[in-house]
Amino acid sequence: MKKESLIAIILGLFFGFVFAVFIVIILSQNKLEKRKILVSEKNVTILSPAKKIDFTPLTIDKPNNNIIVNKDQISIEGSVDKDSLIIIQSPIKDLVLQNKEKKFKVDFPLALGENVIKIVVYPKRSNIKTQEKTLFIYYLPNEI
Amino acid sequence: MRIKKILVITFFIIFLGFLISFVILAQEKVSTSSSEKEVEILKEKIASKVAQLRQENNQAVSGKIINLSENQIEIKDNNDKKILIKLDPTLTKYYRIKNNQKKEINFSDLEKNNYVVVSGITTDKGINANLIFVDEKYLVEFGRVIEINKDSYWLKINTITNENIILDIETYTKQLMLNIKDLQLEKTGFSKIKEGDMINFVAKDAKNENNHFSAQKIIVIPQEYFLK
Repeated sequence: MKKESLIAIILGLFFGFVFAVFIVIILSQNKLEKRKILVSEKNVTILSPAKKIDFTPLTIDKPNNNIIVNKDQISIEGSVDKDSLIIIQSPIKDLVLQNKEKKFKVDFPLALGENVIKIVVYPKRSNIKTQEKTLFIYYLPNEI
Repeated sequence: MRIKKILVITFFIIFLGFLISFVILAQEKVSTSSSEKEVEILKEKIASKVAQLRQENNQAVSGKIINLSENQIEIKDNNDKKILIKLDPTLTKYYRIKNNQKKEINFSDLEKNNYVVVSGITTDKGINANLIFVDEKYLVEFGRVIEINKDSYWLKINTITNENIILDIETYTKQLMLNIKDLQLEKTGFSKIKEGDMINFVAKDAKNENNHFSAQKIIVIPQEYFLK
C-alpha cells in the first residue's frame, strides 16, 4: 500500500470520528431541551388552583366489614373531622373519645360470634350532620 | 526434545480437560441449586395463594333461619336477602353461643327463626357451611329522644333513618350519660333523660310483650353538649 493511501485512510477515520461525536452532542442537547419543556408543562398543571375542602367525612380504614377474625380484639382505624365526639358501641363495650387529629385509632374488644359495632360521630361544628357506620365483625377462633 | 514437547502438549490437554469438567460441574451445581430454590419459591407462592383464596372464599354470613331441611337451610340476612346454606353431615359443626361461650349442638337443635352465624366457602349458589353458630341478634342504634313516658318507663327514639323506635328502660338496663365537661361516661337514671337528648343504645333485636325493644344499655348525650 502506498504511503499516501494510508494517510488518506487515517485522516478519513479521524474526521469520521469527529463528525460522529458532533452529531451525538447535538442530539443529546435536543433531548435535554425537550425534557425541560415537559417538566415546565407539568409544573403549570400542578400549580393550577385546587379547591380546599376542610371537612373530613367518617371513613373506616380498618377493619373491613364482614371479616372473620381469630383474636378477641381488633384495632379500629379511620378518619373524621377534627374535634368530633366519637362513640363506638357494641353489646359488650362502649367507648367515647374526642379526636384531636383527623386520624383515629382504638383497640376494641370482641365477643364470640357476631359483633355489631356502631361508630357514631357527632361533629363539633353544628352545620355538619351526625355520621355513622356499622361494622359486622365475626370472631370465630376455630375457623382460621 | 520431541518427547518433552509431547509431554507438555499432553499436560496441557489434561489441564484443559480438567478445567472444562470443573466449569461444567460448577454450572450444573448452580443451575440445580437455583432450580431447587425456584421450586421452593413456587411452592411457597402456591401455598400462600391457596391460603389467600381460601380466606377470600371463606366468609361469614348471618341471618334468621326461614327454611330447614336435611341437607340445607335458608336464611334471611339483615338486608332481607335470602341465602342458601349447604350442609355436610360429616363436616358441618353446630354450636350455640351463650355468655361468650360456645357449646356444641346438633342439627336437630336448629329451629326456624334462630339467628345463626354461618362460616364456610362461598359458591355461586350459596355457602358450603363449615360452622354454624346459633347466636343472639342485637340492635345497636342511635337517635333523638322525641317522647318520654315516665309511667311506663319508655322512650320514643327517632333514628337517623327517620324511623321511630320505642325503647323500654328495664331494671337491668345499664344507663350512662356523657359528662359534657370531661367527656366521661357516668351512671345516670331515667329521670335525667330529656326530650331532645341523643341516645346510643343496644337492645336485643326481638320485641317484648309490649311490642317494644328492651334496652340492654343506653348512652345519653345531653342536648347541652350540642349547644356548647
